[in-house]
Amino acid sequence: MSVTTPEQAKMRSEAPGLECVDLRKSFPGPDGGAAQIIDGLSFVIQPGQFVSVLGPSGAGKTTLLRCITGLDVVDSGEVILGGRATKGVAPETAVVFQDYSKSLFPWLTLERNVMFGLRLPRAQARERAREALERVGLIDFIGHYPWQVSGGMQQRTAIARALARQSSLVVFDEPFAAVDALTRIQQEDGLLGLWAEFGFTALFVTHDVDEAVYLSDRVLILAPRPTYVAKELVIDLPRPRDQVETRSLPEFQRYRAEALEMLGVAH
Amino acid sequence: MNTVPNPTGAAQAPAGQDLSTTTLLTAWRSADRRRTAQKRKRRATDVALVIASFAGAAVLWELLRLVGVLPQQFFPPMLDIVGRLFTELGAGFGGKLLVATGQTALTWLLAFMIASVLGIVIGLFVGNSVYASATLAPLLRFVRSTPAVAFVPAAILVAGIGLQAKLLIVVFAGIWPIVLNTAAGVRHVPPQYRDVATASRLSSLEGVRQVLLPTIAPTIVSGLRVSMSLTLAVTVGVDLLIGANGLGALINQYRGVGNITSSYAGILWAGLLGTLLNLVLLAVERKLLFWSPEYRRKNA
Amino acid sequence: MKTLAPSQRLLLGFGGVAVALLLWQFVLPPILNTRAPVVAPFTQAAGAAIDILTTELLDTVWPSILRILVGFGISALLGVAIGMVLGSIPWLQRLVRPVFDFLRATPATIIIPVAIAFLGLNSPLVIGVIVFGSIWPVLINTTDAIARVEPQYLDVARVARVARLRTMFTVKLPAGLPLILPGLRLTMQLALVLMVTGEMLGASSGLGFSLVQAQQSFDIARTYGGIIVLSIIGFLLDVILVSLEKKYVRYDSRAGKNAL
Repeated sequence: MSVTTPEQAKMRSEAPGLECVDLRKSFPGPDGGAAQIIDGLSFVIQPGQFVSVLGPSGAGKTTLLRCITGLDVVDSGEVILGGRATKGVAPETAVVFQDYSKSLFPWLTLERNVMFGLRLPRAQARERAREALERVGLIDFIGHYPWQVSGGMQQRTAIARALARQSSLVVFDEPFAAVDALTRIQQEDGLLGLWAEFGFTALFVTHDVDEAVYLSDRVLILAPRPTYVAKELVIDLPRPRDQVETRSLPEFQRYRAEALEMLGVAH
Repeated sequence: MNTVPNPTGAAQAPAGQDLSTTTLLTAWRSADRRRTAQKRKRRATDVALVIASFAGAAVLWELLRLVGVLPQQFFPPMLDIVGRLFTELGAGFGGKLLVATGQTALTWLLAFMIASVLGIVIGLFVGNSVYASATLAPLLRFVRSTPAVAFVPAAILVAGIGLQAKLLIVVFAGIWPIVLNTAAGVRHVPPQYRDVATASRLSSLEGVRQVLLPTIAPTIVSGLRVSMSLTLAVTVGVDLLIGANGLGALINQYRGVGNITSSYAGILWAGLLGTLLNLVLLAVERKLLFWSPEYRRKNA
Repeated sequence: MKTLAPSQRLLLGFGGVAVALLLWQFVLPPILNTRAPVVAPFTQAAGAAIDILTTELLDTVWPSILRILVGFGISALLGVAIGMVLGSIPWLQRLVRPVFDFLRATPATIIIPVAIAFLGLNSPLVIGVIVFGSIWPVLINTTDAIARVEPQYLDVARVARVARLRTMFTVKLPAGLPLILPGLRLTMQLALVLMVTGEMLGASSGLGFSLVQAQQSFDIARTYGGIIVLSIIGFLLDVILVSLEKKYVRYDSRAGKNAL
């Protein structure tokens, strides 16, 4: 779509593959036993792909996310990012959390929030932040505080923060679940645009089948707890995707039906 | 096909079988029993923790004494202090400690009750009327940041050195947190509540009782809590300054005759009393306010 | 509820203060001074206050200001520092919490007699009493605030790979301010009471001491003048703390409802 900037080229060439090998994770249960959340989960993502992880609530999607990003430690198995097994939080990862109200620091402006954690001299960090906020369309609000802007704008700021880090793997934890339907449509397309521009590998967790099919190259369907990748769907729809056209394609409906059936919802 | 959602994992019904009521009850009862057992275990751990905490502090005290960080002449052994406390308490109301406690307790209780009633009334008035609020705001702001004990010499001039002088000071000290919190509570009553009261055709007195007071009760209680600890400290301070009777005066006397151990015993005792009052307030709060979101959030 | 224009509020506020002063000047003395002069009218008291602030600034006012600033400063710094440590070490916090709650519930003034025996008189006593008596609100509030930081904030910091110590100062502390600052105000309140009481019982300089002297020598004007001076000091300190709170806590809509 647009001219590739050097930073975008960097992101694309360094975009790692993400590979999960036989992950297992359990938590001590309330009765003293252990609750097995993840049991033998494996998948591979090619660099630059947009992959959705689809599963019912409570399946363990968030736990999986935390294990992949290094916020939690797996009991066994490996997370391999860009060819290297990760230990703790990998520098190339960024996360966009579901609860945007607790994602941005209320004592910092949007600009400062996006600058948070950047290991750069102050002036460079500010420039990076401004560029990122411009890309998500919030350049007029850089001096505002998170509680002064809408929920959708807060989420866009969180995305800008991920972009500013120039991460090659961006993980999204149901980012649009708490956003109203109209805003969600805009955000989905906005996200696809950014992904096309920046070329990062996207791991998108959601419980919304339509969203998963619309956005992704592949959809991984999780089994209920203890979870693993039960089925996989390759979405062969043309890009760029369009809310009206793509969604009315017969293929879209077919993928959707397949996913629902795999989830055990449809008949 | 009946499957009962069962978070504790007890008595899972096999698919395809109807659950009878008895099976359900058994499942629920065993879950309840498990929960009570857990709660009992948690409470036992809490008690053990408190004991460990105080024991640890006592050990630390002795260690610091031995090493010399706490000079031994000014810091008697903890066992002595505790022993002295028991002796004094054992003397019952014939002994000085309990008499002085009674005097201080009386002063404090009277002062706290007066401050509470006055404080709530004034707070309701100020909170309700924008004009009263604006008129009194700077005055209140100035007056409430004055340390109450500064008034002691003046109070002595006006009311002598008896209960009245002490009451004047302590009431003054304790009234402002209550006024402020009550006023703030009233101001922040969501307008919908007033609408509910009007729609339910409540008379204004009933409206206050049934809608307003419960709504602002949590804020008032938090004001009472602040006031309580402040008034306790000021009551003892006033005892010290107007020295006729009371716990503070007694401890001062002990120090005057060089009886440091008894002074510390008195401090320990005062701490226990303060803690007791705190617990009482917490229990009252729980009884009255278990429904409020703030309470539930704090005790999540 | 309607809101008033700022000019109206200013006017009403002035009116309130004016009425109070008029009462003090013209109504209170005749009522109370029946047998002997016990209340000085406002003008007398104000005169004495001005006297104290001008001629006795160094002898009387400065020692008190020094003590409250140093005492409160130590309380605040120690309280926040210890609170940060305790808030980050859950098992330690749980262990010391019962004892700290006990100390917090102890009426702070009661340590003054033994403190006199241990610390002597004048500034060491007053400052020591202020610190040991008033540190608890800010200490306990800071501990709670740090321990209860929103977990997702910490996740954000971990994903950004911010070092633990840096997280403490750039995330945990700012996040905890809505709880820490009200704790500071309570500490200040206690500190003021302890300063005055300490000076009244165990010092030979300062405002507390001079108030006691004034009362014993029946210098009515000074007894009330000293109150005015202490009021001013207390008011200024409160204004500073409140402006700090307003500046750093405005972002928390919940804290905005905090009256105290």
